[in-house]
Amino acid sequence: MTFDDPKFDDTELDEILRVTRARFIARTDADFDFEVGLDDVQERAGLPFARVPARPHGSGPGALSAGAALACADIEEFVLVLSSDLISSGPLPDLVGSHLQRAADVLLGLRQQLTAGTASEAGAKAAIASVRDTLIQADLILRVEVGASLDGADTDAWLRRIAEHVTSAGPAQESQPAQESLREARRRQASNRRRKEGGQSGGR
Amino acid sequence: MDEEEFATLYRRHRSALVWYLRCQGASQAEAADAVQDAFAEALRAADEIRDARAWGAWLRTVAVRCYRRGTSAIATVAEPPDLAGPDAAAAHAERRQQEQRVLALIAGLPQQQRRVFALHYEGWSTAEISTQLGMEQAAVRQNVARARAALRQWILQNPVSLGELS
Repeated sequence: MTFDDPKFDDTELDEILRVTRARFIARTDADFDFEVGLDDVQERAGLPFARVPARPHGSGPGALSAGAALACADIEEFVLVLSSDLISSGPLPDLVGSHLQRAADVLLGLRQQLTAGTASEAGAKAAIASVRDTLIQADLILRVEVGASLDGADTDAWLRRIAEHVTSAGPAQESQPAQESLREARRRQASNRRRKEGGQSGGR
Repeated sequence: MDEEEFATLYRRHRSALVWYLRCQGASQAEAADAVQDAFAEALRAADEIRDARAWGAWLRTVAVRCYRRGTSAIATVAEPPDLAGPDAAAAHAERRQQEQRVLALIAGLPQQQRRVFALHYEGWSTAEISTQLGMEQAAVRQNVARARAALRQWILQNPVSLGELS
């Protein structure tokens, strides 16, 4: 699909914009010298803070496949979903907050590996499984202590989608053309929806 | 907030903020400069904001204000040169071209649509955008729909090819 294709619909327009944004952020992250940036922030603020180690430059966004870009975009969105879910839930037990923060940190760590081209499928699966466990614990505490839940965040669906995108991304150096990856991701999403509509349990 | 937490905040939000300001019509240099100013303000306010979840909205608001103020006299932080090989550089250049095109399309929208649309693609919900911009949720949805329609129309009328997504 191209922007010149008169048939593209809202979903495809959304996907183009999401992928473009994710790639922009990944490229900017990879190109930017955060150490220099933090020094500059400190200088502008006129306040001192210790220098943090520079981020290593990985293989960069040149190797970022559409699957990886979509996984990054989904991670960002899911972290925002978790945050907004928290905000709308009002005051929460500290333990829930720390569980959700840990889940967000693991996901953002995975995103960093994806943009650096250092994420392995096994590592990504382990990270996602760990996030799932952490969110289950947070959900249980929420249910017991405040009678709320993370149901509204649809966590299983988000994690499944992120895992699918990571799988479709493949090794960074063998990145598929993005169009093909997007089609494959869409086929999988449609297939998952059909399975779900067919009566399979959707998790929490 | 200690220095490590601030560094994490910076790494997490910096590039997304640059994208957000580019969508508002800022050049790369203006966006990078305003984001640096916003984080400088964040560093000064670090002990006043206790709720970590509030930083995303706070940073966007301050970054836009810094961009509009445009008073920063300190040179923009330079980005390192592209060290990729010729093939990677060509693909990189093509993607940058596409990014520029998408950014130009969004920045060309009417102001209200542009603000709503940019937040929408930041992952904000209709309710959050409504609160942040002080408008009805119906108006948010209407602005997203109009922005989408305008982008489609613009793309169809514009003969310039953006090429494949990859």
